[in-house]
Amino acid sequence: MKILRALLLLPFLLGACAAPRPTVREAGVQAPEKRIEVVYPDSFRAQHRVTLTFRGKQLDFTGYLLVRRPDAWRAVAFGEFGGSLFDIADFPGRGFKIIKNPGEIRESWLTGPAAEIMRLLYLPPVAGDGDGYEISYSNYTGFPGAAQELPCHTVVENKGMRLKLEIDLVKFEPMELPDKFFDHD
Amino acid sequence: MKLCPLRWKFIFPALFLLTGALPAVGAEPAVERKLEPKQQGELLARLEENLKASKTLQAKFKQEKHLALFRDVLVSRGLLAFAVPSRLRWEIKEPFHSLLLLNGKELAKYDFPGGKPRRLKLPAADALYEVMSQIAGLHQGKFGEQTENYELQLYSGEAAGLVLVPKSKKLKQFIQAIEIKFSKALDSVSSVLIREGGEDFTLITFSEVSLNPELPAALFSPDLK
Repeated sequence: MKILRALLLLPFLLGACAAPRPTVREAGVQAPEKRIEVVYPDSFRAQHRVTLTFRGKQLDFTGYLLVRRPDAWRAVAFGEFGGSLFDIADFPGRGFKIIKNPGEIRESWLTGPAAEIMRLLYLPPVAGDGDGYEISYSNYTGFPGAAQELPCHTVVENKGMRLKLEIDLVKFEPMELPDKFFDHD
Repeated sequence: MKLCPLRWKFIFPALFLLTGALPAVGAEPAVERKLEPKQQGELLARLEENLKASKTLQAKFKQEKHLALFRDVLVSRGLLAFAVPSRLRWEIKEPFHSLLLLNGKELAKYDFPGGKPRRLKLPAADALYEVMSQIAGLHQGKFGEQTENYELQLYSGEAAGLVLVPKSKKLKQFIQAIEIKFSKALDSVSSVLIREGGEDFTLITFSEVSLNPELPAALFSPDLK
């Protein structure tokens, strides 16, 4: 259970998408990729709905994400009735921190796979990141402030770990994000 | 594996003291005078009697997650249905679709990929089942069952209110208090507010409430068709 709870470290994207329905992009169905560079604005906040599957078991929850590229992010997860599950952040000069973890998720998962998936999906690529992960995107939608259409449905899978994340973008908002949003002291 | 950490088993039930609701007021409760113990006992007894009078309930809800640091509010809306003794349906309709069902001994959770219901294979339904069962119990006015984990304090004023403060220091780190407001007739709940650490809170308000409606059994069936 702790392992499964630990997997509740999902990227959270905020945006304004219609009810997520996998669609075919104009160029054709996108095959799973190890990773592609989605052109996000320099900073944004987003809300996602996430379904996690791990070793055959499933959970869903809501995520709230702040990203300031290239290297700062903060992710907060909420359960069914609004209660916080965890709050984690990574900020240059301060490093990664688990701000709170009322969901009692194993910390090694927060610091490990969670952070890795965040980097995979929302930050510029780093050598070595993403090994074992396959990512597919669909249901692209345009958002004010975004240079390109963004995927409203993302699936991240690591078959070796028997891990799968299905992420639906609910709300997306490019915005300035001062340091205080990543303050975890 | 537990779906919910222990502390949430005590918090979630307080979210659902529902037997009907007037449109909720804002985030700050209008409670005023703290009641003396004897008055509290009398009021709790009256609440329990009134709440038990509703064997079924149906209502719309609006759930707001207030994030002070981010200066943002996450809003979801949906429908609630309840039938004694232990049938509960909590369905979020926007901005995403999610469904939680309790039908006696069985619990089911659905998401809706591509608009189609998919029953989730919950890792440990027992924890969530316990939460939902407590919710059902609270709906019948069983506040006394919460005294083990909370200090209860009732207030009178513009609207009577019940404040639950966790006894556990550990729990208090994450939940400062749960504030429940009642209608003037003391036969319904107006709102439930959960104050977390800092200035974050969750506010659930209810509207278009129907007491004792006829509800089809299929509404609580764990197997969607």
